[in-house]
Amino acid sequence: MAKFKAPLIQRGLLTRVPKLGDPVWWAPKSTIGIVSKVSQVTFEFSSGPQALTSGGKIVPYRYRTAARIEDALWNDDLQRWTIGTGPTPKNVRGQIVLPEPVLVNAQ
Amino acid sequence: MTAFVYGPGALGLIVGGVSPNPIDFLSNTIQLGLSNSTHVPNRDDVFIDDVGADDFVDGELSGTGYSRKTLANKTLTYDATNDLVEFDADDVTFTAINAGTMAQATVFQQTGGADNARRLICNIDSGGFPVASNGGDVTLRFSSGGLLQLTV
Repeated sequence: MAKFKAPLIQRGLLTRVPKLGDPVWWAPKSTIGIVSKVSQVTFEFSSGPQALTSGGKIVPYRYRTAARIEDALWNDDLQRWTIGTGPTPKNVRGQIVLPEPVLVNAQ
Repeated sequence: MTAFVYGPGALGLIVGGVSPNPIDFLSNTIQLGLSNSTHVPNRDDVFIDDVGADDFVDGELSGTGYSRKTLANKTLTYDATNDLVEFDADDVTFTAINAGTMAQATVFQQTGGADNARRLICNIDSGGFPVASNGGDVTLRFSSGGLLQLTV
């Protein structure tokens, strides 16, 4: 199981907070993201593949997600933040191996 | 009955609605509770105790293994492909619950005041409801699209 270091909240101070450009693993959707905005309490990250919107615009990331800073957990092994619960990548001798996609139908 | 977003709750999520303060899904404490068929959800209701005889509090489960659950690891996402704003959180588990038959789950803003000040957000009665609890665990698994979606 991957080790992680949760941000410590001591007297209202966090020992580590997400910063612009930090990588993120969004576990519920099993996607890699990048921090795009940081506020006092929340931060945003962009993730997912390039997408074509219904308006015909191509955007570099399909998802733009906001979450609370205190819900982000720094994972030392993966060197990235993780948000939510779900499959997580593994660090195998320095290589980050993504989890296998879950099969909906086994046929 | 199908799952729906309470109208005043939707307004609160967007601009503040009928109460002075907006519902901040990420920063506020948001909880989920279970209720039986005595609770008759009405999308015009505002609070979990809305003075009627069939509000959430009138049908809320009571018994072994039941307590209101606080949603953890909440996220708000814009899906550019599907024009959706998704509200999501970790799945919720009620351990060893034996508190009657659950007809629906209700999501609400947990304020510091009383139940007549706790604002309704959405009602979920699809995906397996009703469920008769019998002492086993019950897990509400939100879909990959979140527990609530707004189409933009």
